[in-house]
Amino acid sequence: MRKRAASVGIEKLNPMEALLAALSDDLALPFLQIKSCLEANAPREQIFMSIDSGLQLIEAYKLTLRINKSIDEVAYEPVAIGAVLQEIAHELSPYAKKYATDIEVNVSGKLTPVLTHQPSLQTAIQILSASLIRAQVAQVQKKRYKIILGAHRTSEASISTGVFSSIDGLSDKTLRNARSLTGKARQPITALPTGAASGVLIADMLCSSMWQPLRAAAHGGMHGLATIIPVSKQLQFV
Amino acid sequence: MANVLLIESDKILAVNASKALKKSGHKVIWQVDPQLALDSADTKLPDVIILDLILANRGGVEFMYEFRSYPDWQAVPIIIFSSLSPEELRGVLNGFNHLNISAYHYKSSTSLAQLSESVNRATHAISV
Repeated sequence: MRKRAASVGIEKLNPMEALLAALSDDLALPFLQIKSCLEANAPREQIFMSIDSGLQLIEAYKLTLRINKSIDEVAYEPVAIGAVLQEIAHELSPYAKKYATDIEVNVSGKLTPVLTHQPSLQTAIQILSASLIRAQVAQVQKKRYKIILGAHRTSEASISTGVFSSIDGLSDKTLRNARSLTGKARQPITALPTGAASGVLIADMLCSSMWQPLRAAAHGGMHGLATIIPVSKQLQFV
Repeated sequence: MANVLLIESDKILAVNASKALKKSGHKVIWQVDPQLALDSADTKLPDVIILDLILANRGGVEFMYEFRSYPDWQAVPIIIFSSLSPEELRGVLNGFNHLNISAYHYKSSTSLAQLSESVNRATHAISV
């Protein structure tokens, strides 16, 4: 009887509360990094990078919350996915460098612009990239790592875009489990260590609200997570 | 001076912890993967292990059970340095008694100086 009551308590967590719980767990990482940097007299830019990574996580959460609660009117505009990926790669390159990671942008073919909410796309891919950069280094020790920000046309009417790395264990099943464990487990994605899962889950929630949830995909010989964005029929003629 | 095997999933935390430990005169080997940590323990013969509990793929607890299953490594001190608070592990920590854990440090409330101090104490205890 008591067991039943306890499980009802957990079920009461709505998705945004669950995400907030996951976020609070993962936000500890940048704070711990800052604390240890100050103690170890690490360079100032390292401290700023950890601050930025924490702020990015908060901003992504706030954007997801606003979109989910329909607080902001979502302004759609024509967006060139390749340009967005290039900008993310540029912004994340100092962070990636700290984790010995090279970022490659790989857009297959000439892609039609999509009609979408540009901040959501940028935030989702950026937060996903930062999480996978950290996760990749936590999974296996190598001299250099690589992630691909990729996009390719999947059909006449849709483009797949996402982040691809050499991380093992990211499958649709893992994602489904992670969604159900959001806010209830300290490590909802077993392939990812502390400090990486909520980035993936926030990106997933943003993608679900805007287009389609993240799914396991492959691009350029690497595995990763991607979303499918519909192509605007009108923009195909622009 | 002690040979410290640091098993930590975040690179920045690992680099900073290594720096602090090296400053205290210790030699540090950093591993992210518990399986590789076991392999490196075989060759590098650590005097102390610092272990994060939440790691990618395989947990720290699983590592401890395997590590302690080898007779040669039963006396090597294990210091836990985790983002799980002792309150979260209430009830479970008692079950770790037989794993002979030297110290439990919650990352949020532990400084690197305290971690180094813990390593010093653990190595001193061995030499005495």
